[in-house]
Amino acid sequence: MLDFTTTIIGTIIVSLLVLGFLLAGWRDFLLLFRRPTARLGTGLSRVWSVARVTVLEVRSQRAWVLLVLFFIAFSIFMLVAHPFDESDRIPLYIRTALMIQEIIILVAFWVMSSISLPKERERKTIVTNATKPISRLEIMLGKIVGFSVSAGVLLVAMGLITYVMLLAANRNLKARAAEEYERAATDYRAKVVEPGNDKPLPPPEDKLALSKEGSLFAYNYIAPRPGNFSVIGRLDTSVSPPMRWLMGGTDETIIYRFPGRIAIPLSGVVGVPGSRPAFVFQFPVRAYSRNITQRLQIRVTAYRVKQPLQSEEKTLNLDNDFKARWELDRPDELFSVINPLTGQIDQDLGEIEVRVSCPTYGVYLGVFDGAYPDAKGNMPPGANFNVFASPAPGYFYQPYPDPVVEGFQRRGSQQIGGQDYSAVMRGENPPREMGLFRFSAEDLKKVHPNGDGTFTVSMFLDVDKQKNEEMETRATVQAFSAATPNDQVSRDVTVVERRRTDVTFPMSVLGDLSKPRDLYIALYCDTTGHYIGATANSVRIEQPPSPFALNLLKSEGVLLTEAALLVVICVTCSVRLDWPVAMLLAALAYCLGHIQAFVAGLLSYGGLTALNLTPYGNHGATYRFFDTVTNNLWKTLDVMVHLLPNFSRYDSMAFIVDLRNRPWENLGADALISCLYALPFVVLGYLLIRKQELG
Amino acid sequence: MTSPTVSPPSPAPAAASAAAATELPAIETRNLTKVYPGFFRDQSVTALENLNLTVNRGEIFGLLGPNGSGKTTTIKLLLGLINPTEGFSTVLGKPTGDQVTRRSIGYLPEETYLYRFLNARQTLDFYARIFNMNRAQRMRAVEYYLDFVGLDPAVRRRRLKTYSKGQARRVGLAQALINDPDLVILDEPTSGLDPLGTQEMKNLIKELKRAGKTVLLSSHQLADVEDVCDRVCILYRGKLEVEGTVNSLLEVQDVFKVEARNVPAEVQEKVVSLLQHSAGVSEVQPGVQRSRLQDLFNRLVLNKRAAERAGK
Repeated sequence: MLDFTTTIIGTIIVSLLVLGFLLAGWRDFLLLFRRPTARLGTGLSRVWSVARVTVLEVRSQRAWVLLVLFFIAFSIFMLVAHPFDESDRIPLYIRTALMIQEIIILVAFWVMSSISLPKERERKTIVTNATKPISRLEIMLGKIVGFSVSAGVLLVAMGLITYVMLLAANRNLKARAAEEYERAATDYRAKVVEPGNDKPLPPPEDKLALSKEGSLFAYNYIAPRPGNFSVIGRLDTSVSPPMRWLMGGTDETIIYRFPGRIAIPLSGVVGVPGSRPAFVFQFPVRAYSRNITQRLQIRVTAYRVKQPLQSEEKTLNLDNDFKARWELDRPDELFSVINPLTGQIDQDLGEIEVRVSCPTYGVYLGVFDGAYPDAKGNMPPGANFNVFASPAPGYFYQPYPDPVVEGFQRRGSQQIGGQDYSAVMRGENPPREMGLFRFSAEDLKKVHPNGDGTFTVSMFLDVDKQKNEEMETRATVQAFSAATPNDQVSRDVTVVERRRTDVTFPMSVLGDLSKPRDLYIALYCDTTGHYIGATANSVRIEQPPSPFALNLLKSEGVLLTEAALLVVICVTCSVRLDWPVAMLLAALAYCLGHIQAFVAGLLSYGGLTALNLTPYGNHGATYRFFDTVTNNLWKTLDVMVHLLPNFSRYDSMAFIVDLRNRPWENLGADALISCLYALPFVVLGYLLIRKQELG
Repeated sequence: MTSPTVSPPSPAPAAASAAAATELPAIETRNLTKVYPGFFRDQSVTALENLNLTVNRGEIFGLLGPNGSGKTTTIKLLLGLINPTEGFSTVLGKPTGDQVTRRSIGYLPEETYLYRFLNARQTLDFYARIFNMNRAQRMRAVEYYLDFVGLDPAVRRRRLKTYSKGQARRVGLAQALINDPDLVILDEPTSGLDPLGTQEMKNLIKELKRAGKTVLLSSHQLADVEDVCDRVCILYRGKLEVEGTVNSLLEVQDVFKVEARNVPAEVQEKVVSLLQHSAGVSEVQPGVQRSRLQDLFNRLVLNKRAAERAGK
């Protein structure tokens, strides 16, 4: 309903603006592309004339000082920055350089473009221009183009400075890494024991890789789509369906997410224990030790995804059926509130996640995979779950949603543990841990084959060596298509901490690309005592690399689209208003354009709940009044921010700090959406300046 | 303004455009009224009231009046810079504000409103671009008109913010002429010019007329207007008080004047006596013809400059 209102109001306002433009300015619009007489050029040529003068205006304001300012700021940062990991040095430089550029360019052009037209009115230069065969639309567009071109020139110059400085930094980085590796290798050969260690440490392989490769890349790769990565944990394929095992007595944690809302009626939050809504847990249990002395327990934590600090934690005893029931003490802080009369959610607190670990040493808890909901949010029949939400007795208003397994964590990150060969030798056959990455069939059409009929899968993984530090971390990578899950191709590789590891697979693994199916890549750690940390982007299908300089230029392009949009807003605001008001308005538009997500959050919580002012118990008339008022305030704010450009979408660092090539489509989308955002502003500016009296 | 001849190097030498060939007047206003609204009703100001005016093609028309009489408002209305409250006006046969018509208009505002961060060449280049001149045409036109308005070549690469008022005025005039306009609107054209520059400006205006251009001139310098204008009108508090040719307006019907050189004193006495006694004319004022200060100044400065050039 709210989105509907926002969309309708926004559409009406933009439509009215465009309609007004078409009615009032169609002639001026046509003149942009048409020559009215043989003696006059097209409007675009006159736009460019004004743009040229605007560029000269920027130059006259000594904009080149901005380059010096950038150089000084970036140089100082390069001198003082000391990243924890040398591999992070170049990404850190890139991030900082782009941030400095963004600040300098946006502030400078915010000021210059807001002041330009008011100054022209004050000095009456616009009067002289307006007596020439140039329309007001052309004057305004000329200003916008001129400032945008100036910003582009400055950004290219800043990009060039950044590139040269990064090249120098990369060269130093490689030399330092080679030196450190050589020193460590010499110490290791000489069996030198560093203070704090009890034995000589092998030379760090990542330094060797860093010394060879450096850190200036622009990788192209296809990554699994969100939600298509999971560390399975110890997967037992001998049972059907396969089951993963959570090891007791460790900090291994399984995370469940409830995509649907768990909602309770307002009156359901009170009541005696035993009548409140609850989570119910049930696990298959298997012993891995004969020496189990503790009572079988699980430690559970429930929290809101949007506000993880709002959480509740408890240690539960499993009964003889390995079940436990958990009634929350404060369900109103986690569960959404439903209106029993309408069946609609009144206060939406968002998704809930539940984390489960087992503090009891010597047992495995069996974790069912559950299932992913379909497009309508329904779970497939027959899906097994270890946890489900139970309504309070007597309430039958809504089926409770089922969870999905969000991930498997150890020491706070998703890790794949190494094979325990000592257990294998004892004949215990412990299940292996596995990370599973699923690549969408749609994306597989873009896979670029190597010359020898293979494609490259690259991995960028963390390594945690708890034991056997001197050993290399070995891993097995298996690839198979969903169409032919039994035709698996395996590769054994050595994984280097936070360096790229490449594996090639034959294109045949992808199956028939005219009817592609999802590709699965499974990752196992083969070294005892080693753990491989992974994220959703850790394993990807590699495409031909792009020049880093081009990638940097694309990031500058994103900055340019953002700056150009800000220029449009500033010029539009200054068409009628004097520069202080225009600057304030433009700044307000920019700030509101950054908080769309925040306002959407306020709206989803609704009313006073967004301010965390919802009391327990029944709400009186005063509360309901102010709740309605604030709710309408959020709605109004939401409409306002949706009429403004969403500036938070411009993330110049999104790809490049991951050393990833930004796809052209991404840059094109940014540019296209900027044009769409700019259109209502240009129209509004034209309607304001069209009949403005000058002189 | 060193060479007061108009031989424009602009892209379309056929300056007499199709519109110019017609018999329509260059400027025509009907009941043109402009009221500047105030916040309250009694604060509104009527700057121009029911102005009916016709400026024929090829004539120099003077717009006269004291401060606040509506001269500049009239010009702004004709240029489409402001919108009329009532009435309408046409320029070169088209409603005011028409973008194509502005191709044939040159305007020199009463102050020089040009970009201070540009130099003279860049300024003229900018305006020449608006008129769709190609690079060669622009270069030729820029140099020609800078020579034409007599701007010292040494200052042409300096930014306009360093110019004196007279220098900036010359650049302003050059931008008004860069498109070889059919109609030239000059608001206080001699403002800020030295007497020699003033004379050159007047010569230029006459040259424009000889080239077939229409000139609308607004000025406080009545002597200048008298020298160059074919017709004038006088505005007072936004209303048209009088309009006509200069001669018809300044002609004094009951005064007879004879001019002759080298007349002996006794002959002068006889003429006066004849008029007083024989013809019965009571008011006879004999005297020596006086030259104007402007002419004296021009003569002196021109002689000095000629001597300097000869000395060099």
